[in-house]
Amino acid sequence: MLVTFWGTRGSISTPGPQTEKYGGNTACVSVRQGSTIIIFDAGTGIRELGLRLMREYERTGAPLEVHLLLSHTHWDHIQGLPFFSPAYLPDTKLNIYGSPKKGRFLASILEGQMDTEYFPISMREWGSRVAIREIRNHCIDINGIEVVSEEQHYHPGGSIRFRLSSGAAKIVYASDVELDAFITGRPADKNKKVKAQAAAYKAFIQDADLLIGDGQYSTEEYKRCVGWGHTSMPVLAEVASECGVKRLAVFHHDPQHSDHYLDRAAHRLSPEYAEGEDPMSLFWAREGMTLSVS
Amino acid sequence: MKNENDRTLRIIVGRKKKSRVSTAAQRVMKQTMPIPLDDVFESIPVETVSHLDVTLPDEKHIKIKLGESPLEIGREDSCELCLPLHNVSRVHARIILDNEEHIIEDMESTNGTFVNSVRIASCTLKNNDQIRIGEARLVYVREKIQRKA
Repeated sequence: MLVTFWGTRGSISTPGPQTEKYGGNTACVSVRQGSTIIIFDAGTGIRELGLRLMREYERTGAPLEVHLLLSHTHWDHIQGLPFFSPAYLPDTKLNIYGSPKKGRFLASILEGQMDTEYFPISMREWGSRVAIREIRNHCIDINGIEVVSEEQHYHPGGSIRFRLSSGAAKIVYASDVELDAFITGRPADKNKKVKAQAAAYKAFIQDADLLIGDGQYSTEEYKRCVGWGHTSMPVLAEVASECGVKRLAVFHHDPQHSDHYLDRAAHRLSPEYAEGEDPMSLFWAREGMTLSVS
Repeated sequence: MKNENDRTLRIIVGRKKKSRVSTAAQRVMKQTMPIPLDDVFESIPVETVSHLDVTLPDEKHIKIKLGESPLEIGREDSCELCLPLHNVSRVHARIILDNEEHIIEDMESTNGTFVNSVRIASCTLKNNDQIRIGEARLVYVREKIQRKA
């Protein structure tokens, strides 16, 4: 499977010279295997992915079938969708998966952001065949790739984590979750429910070949952002290492974090995990980077 | 140099303050700085040039200019950047220009292509990226230059 980062930023897009290296677009990651295209989230990064797919379509003429897995519907995870060019192609089949929302269906939320008050083109004007499915704790098969989803509670409004498995290869996308709130601390201080949630997260990422995980804050920053639904970098790295993750892509970069800041974070933390019995490649996800996972 | 008003940008460098600012400073701050438009546009970088700084295990340095043509890197003589080194595949990687950006692609090499210590399948290159191919170290340098007269 080939994993490409199209948007790595959290909260809001941050274009400019200070974010040129890691990128300023919000969350979007594609996974490709043969002609199968799976996308995690539709932040502003999906626009560039759409342009790439359009170039491929123009070259080959092969109709596109895209599977878009939405972790949740906060702006930084859906805002690029109206600019996803393949959605306007009659040849495209666009399958969108996301969790049910309280009292509002996924389809109505997505349509809402393309209301004329916000955007000149409504979702009904998309030319593609669109299928929207609400999923929660499901296991589905997409052309031989097993997709498992689980709800995450430690994010305002909730979110979903996904795991893709193909053969022996495992990729986990678990953004927008506050691990510090339920994984760290003494077990004696936790109730049964919290312990179960921590165990479920660990089981989900266990032995992943690649974990794309929320690591928005430094330890100091996290103290000021408790309850905001994001994780501190050292906690993410520690849990991933403990669970035997082979490669960890720190994701959902804080809008205030410049390239220089993220470089320093990498220099500080990555060497700790690079050696030993079970080394883990720890790096900060950047736009335009493609990894092979097999 | 005197210029016509419509060919001149005037950049206000400051405003007079009521206090705490010396008379000399106030005099400077009241002034404007005329810049000829031609000078302004000629100083805007209009061209981007890129090259690789290659360091070999024997500390030998090579500078390779990158252009629009793909650059193949590997052990074979036919590669534009030939690296007859241990742990380098015959055709190990290549650099292509796509949408005004250089992208390095691993050519399914045995020992991998690394950008800033991360093993990649491909990666859009940014200024000062450190690439490792076998025992060779490559630094991608991208800079904007001014229009030539």
